[in-house]
Amino acid sequence: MEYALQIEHLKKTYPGFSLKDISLQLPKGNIMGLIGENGAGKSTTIKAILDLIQKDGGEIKILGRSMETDRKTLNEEIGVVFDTINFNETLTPKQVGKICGNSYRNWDIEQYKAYLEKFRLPEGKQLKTFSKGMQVKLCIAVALSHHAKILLLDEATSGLDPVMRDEILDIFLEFVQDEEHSILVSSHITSDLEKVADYIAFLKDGQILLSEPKDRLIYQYGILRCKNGVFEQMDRGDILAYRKMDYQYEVLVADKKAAEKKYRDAVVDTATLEEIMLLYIKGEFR
Amino acid sequence: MKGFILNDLYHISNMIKQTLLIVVVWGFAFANGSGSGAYMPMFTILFCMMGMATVFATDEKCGWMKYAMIFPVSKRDYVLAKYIVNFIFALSGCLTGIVLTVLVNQVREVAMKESMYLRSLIAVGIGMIFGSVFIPLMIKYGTEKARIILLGIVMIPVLLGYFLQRLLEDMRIEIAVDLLERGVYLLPAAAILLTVVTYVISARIFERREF
Repeated sequence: MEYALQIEHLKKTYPGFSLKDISLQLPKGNIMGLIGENGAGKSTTIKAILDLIQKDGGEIKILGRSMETDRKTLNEEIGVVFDTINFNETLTPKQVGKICGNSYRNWDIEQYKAYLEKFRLPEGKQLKTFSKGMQVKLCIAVALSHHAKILLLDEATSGLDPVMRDEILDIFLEFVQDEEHSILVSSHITSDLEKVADYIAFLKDGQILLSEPKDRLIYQYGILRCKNGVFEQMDRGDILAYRKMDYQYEVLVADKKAAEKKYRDAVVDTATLEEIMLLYIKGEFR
Repeated sequence: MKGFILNDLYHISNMIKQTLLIVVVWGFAFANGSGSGAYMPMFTILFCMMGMATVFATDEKCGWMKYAMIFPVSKRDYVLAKYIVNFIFALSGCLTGIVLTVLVNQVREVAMKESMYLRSLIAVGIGMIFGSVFIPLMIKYGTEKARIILLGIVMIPVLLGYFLQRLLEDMRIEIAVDLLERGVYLLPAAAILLTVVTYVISARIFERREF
């Protein structure tokens, strides 16, 4: 299997926070969602991938190559969208196009103009007149207009309305259709990831708590709800995480069909990514 | 790297109207008092050097430095682009000053002083030296702290020059004016040397910088 992104034992320490032994693999032609609460380490992980920070340990390969030795050529093939626009607000999309055209070897001005038209972004207006959504769309247009092989999106869809987010998610699905392109998207809007992601990696306090195919999480994981008596009888191995609510326990299980057969006095529902995330963040581990 | 230079020039071009207005008003106001307007290049250079501070301040404000690192360039290219922009500013400022001086002299029907060309050369040299010192400070400390540090650095040669002059006066030693002028011709060479040295320092600082 070919990987677009491989992270092996990534470590980075700051005062008060550290990334501890992060390992991830993103197969080519797939979308991986990186989820976690604020401060979990999602942005730090992306910065480490882009060599914006110096790692304290571990190895990162993008498209089989290392940023440390191949920065210039790799950056031609990576498209990045951060959560805020980083262009000077007095620039216009036309000027942004010229800046990028003089920076990227593979800059496709026609594709850029097509995205500007698709996103309804006026070429001659300064960016300070753009709404937040328009600014993000411009950044996405830039990221998609130099024939990048991999997109890294750091909370790129936060702050967008549902209509715009839906439009952009369709573009992402189109991007990976040929199985040569890949996307790593960090987000805490789990509903977006449920729509488009193939893999989900969950970060908490600088650690990967789970990294699974999305379909396994959605179709196999379940939320078991039961009274105290049933909970006390449960096998420890069946409990991934749990929360004591007012009148019941909520338990995250890895195999909901098996749990339904085994614990007939409990109700087992399909787990959404948000529920899985909440249980891992707010729940306890047995 | 061309994209980075273009980015800075676009930004300054959006402020060019305000800058030109200030330069022209100052120029005519000063020229009316001083004579042939030969000091114009100096003032013009100062205004242009403000452009470097503005460029870095804007980079910091919009997070351009971080975003620039995702382009297919090395970190050294970012630094080199800043030095090139500094040179463009210095040269543009000088040319603007010369044009304004010529205009002022035409209006006042005053002959051009030979010293204007020397002063222009000094101005470009000072502009390059200023930028060469400012750039590594801004990369290391950010714009706010760099401005304060630079003020301190500028005061040192001014104070040294003052005390040296007083000392020479007390010792009744006179330095020939032509010797000083010959020394001034070394300024461009000093500017080039300082540019190269500080570029190497700036590049090393920037290589280690985290975003």
